[in-house]
Amino acid sequence: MRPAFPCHKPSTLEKPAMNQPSQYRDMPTRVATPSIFTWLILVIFLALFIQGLSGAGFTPDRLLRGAGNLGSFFAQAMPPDFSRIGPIAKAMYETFQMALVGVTFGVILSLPMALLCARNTSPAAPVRVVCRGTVATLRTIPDLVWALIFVVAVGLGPLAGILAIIMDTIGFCARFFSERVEEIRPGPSEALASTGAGRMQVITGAVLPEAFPSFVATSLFAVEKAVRSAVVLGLVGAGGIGVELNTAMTMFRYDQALTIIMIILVVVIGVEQLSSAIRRRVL
Amino acid sequence: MRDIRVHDISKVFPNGTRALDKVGFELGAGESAVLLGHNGSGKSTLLRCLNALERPTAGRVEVGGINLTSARGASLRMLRRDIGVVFQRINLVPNLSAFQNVLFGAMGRQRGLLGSLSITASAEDRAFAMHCLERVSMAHLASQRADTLSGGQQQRVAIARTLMQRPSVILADEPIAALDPKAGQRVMELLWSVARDEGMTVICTLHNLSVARIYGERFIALVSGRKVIDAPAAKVSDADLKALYADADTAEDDGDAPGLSMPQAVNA
Ligand SMILES: Nc1ncnc2c1ncn2[C@@H]1O[C@H](COP(=O)(O)OP(=O)(O)OP(=O)(O)O)[C@@H](O)[C@H]1O
Ligand SMILES: [Mg+2]
Repeated sequence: MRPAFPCHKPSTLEKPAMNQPSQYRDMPTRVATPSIFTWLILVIFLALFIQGLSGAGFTPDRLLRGAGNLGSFFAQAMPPDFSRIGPIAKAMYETFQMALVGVTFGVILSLPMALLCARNTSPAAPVRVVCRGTVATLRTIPDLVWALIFVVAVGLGPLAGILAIIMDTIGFCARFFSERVEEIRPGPSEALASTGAGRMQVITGAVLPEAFPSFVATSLFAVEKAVRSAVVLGLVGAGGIGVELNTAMTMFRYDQALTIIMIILVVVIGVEQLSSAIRRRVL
Repeated sequence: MRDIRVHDISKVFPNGTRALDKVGFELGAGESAVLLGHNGSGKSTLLRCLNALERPTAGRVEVGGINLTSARGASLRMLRRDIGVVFQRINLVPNLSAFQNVLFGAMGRQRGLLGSLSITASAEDRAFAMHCLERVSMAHLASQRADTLSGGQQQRVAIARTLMQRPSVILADEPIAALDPKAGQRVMELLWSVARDEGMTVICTLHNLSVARIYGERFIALVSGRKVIDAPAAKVSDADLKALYADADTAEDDGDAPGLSMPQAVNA
């Protein structure tokens, strides 16, 4: 123990008083000394950061040229070409549908999955471990990779996109659903069990009603997320507006590309506004 | 009508806490007992063992002659149907209506998943739920969300849920702890009049000794998980009851503290 106040003269009073701080052997230091582990993490982080920065060719020169290119992109994109607004709107609509259908199936599948993952509703530990592993895997694989896989499996088009969104939604929703289920106070469930209710009855009676508002909020986040990812999925041929955007870009029709980007912006913002309005109502 | 036989049960929690130490007693069908003891003396644990929410680590519990401790699955559910519990912390499903919470009392009688939801419940069940709410004078708040009710109102709804269950045993764990004196008195009167009307066997935990005096026919008291009093109320003196709490400080921290003086055991 190091003396906290070296200048302090030991008191001769009988009663231990507040002016004898040294009697508290375990008083925490003002700032916790970082452990070796913390230092190690810091050093590794700095090394990776500096290497990454130089590897990306992050030079002022290139940034300037990039800004110039961007300028010429916008110069060519202006004014946006609305002549193909019909097919573009249709593709956007298709994108939105992909997201909605994918999320709906994803949420439906997430429910049982979440109940199997949550500690308080899972029937057995091995089931829980397997389900958690599955959900973690689904979440780890990015949506774009799922889309690539499903394009191979079911061919180009919206079906591949929908399947990719389903996988992504399960990874997202099952995790947050099960975390919410685990947060539920055990009291009401126990009260129902004490009346002779079975496991499934307890779940429908006490667990789901209490978790429902949070499930709705999470599902709405999933819709927002799915609309954004549905846009990108088209770039690998999994249907939707991404296909249009890809075509416009490769054919240097930046004026059409700008129209598409503007429409995406409007729809994504619209969906986010709508979903937060619904969330406010439910919660 | 069911009696309760507790054969020397002990409960040691996985973390090593010995909550009950060879507690045994018998309570005849239709009789009532008030359970007393300091905080952490094991009252809730004992009641939980009587509904198999907790399993004793030794000994066994028989309710109506059936061994509760070894019951599992469907036979456990059958037995639990007949044992109503009013919890220390009010355990209503917060975002459902009072009416819906009362309907859940019938869950044990239904086989399906949806039988006790407000939209799917049978007309008889709905009518009986309303009757139960009337019994606790809460019918006028039937459609209010449980978490918007006051503590006393919630506890009355919890009692209505237990009535809906139509049990022959009621275990009440400090049913009035969260209530003001007036509301507490009403809840106790309600509980006791219902139990008398239906011939139910009742064990009720209380911290308020004057309330215990009013309602207790028989006192059972625990100190650090051991039964120290089990006698008709008339034979237990106020000094005996006071002594239960005198050593609470030492007793809660460490049940095996040396020099812990136990109140004189009073047994009838
Ligand atoms: N799940 C548990 N795990 C570990 N210890 C527990 C658990 N439940 C209760 N205990 C311990 O068992 C002892 C008895 O607890 P219990 O809740 O039965 O006391 P009580 O008499 O109901 O107290 P109170 O008057 O405060 O309600 C306490 O020491 C408590 O800390
Ligand atoms: Mg208790």
